[in-house]
Amino acid sequence: MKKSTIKIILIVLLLNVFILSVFTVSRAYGVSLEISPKIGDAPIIDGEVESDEWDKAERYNTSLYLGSSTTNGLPIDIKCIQKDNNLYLLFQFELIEQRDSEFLAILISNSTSEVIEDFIDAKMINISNGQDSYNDLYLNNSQYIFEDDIEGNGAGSIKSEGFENWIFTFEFKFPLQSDETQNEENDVALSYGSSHAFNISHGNIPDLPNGIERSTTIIINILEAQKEPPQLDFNIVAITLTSIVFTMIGLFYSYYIYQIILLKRKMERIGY
Amino acid sequence: MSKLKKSEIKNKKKLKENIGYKTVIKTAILSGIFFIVSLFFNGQIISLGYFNNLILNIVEILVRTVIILFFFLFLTISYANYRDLVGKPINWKNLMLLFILSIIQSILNIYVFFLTLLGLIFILLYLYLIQE
Repeated sequence: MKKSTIKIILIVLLLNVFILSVFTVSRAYGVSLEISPKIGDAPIIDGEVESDEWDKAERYNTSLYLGSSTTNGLPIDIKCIQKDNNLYLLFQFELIEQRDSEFLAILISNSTSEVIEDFIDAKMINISNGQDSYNDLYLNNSQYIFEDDIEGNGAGSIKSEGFENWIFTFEFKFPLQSDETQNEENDVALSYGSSHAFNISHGNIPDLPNGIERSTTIIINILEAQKEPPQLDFNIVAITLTSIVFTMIGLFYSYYIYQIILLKRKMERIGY
Repeated sequence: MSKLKKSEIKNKKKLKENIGYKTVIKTAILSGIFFIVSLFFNGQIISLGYFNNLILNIVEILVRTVIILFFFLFLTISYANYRDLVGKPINWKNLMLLFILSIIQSILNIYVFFLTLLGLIFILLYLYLIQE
């Protein structure tokens, strides 16, 4: 075989490998934690952690990493509660400085897939000059666009601890759905018993994904729907009790009337 | 004793027992009426609670209580007379039975229950005292 032919074959082969590698290797987030919610009371989504509202939830720790780094992350506490038709998430971390604007965004994958393109839904709390706002976004050509129909709820606050640290608190509420429920096109349907990858992203310019400074990805295993124990229907109990009681008295009364009639016959027989 | 006097005494006894029997019938009918009224009110077929008015609610509780008390009173009179006619005076066991048959009509409402309980105790005390 000629040298030039071998060269051509090699070039074609290398080109093939290169082209294929573009399609097979996708950009993806790395999962740092897998958590399961606890069943508990629904916390109030106001950005404030009251004394015991998150007590039933387990406390998880992970870190938010700068860019693609996996070292020297910013420690973040996570709590997760599932109650009725909602999933509640609490995020807390500390920073030395506070800027004019800070946001925490939760990018939600439609499955446990960590591929960036699968995080089609995002919820964001932005704290700007002490005022928090909650927004619902969706992925459109690698950019997250603000939605008009806001699903879920969220609130955040920044509080100083001493003179050095600022505590960032973010509370989210995500509605859960049964499998049969149709979800809006732009929102990920978080259904009972499913698992989803959640990317927690922090930054100061509320522009996704460009404004993301630190992030990490966790997987949340949503529990099955809670089944309420069957409640006693007071009306049915009342009707049953009334029927039993008044039937009993009615029977007694009928028997008594029957005895009176018998007495009358007896009296007639003996000449009264 | 002359035959005429004996006949008079017998007639008087007959008359007394006929009056006793009529009392049994009349009071039994009255207790039956109160029982049916009680079924409507205490069985919550008729309720003034829909109006959400405190005074009407109080009136309803009182009406329910009074109905049960009248039921107990008339049934007690009727049954006591009946027992008298058959020659066995009413005893505490019989009274307790009537007491239970009356009080269980009020089980759907705690206020009616306690008021009825008080009323029944009062009636029983009264009956006990007049016996003495």
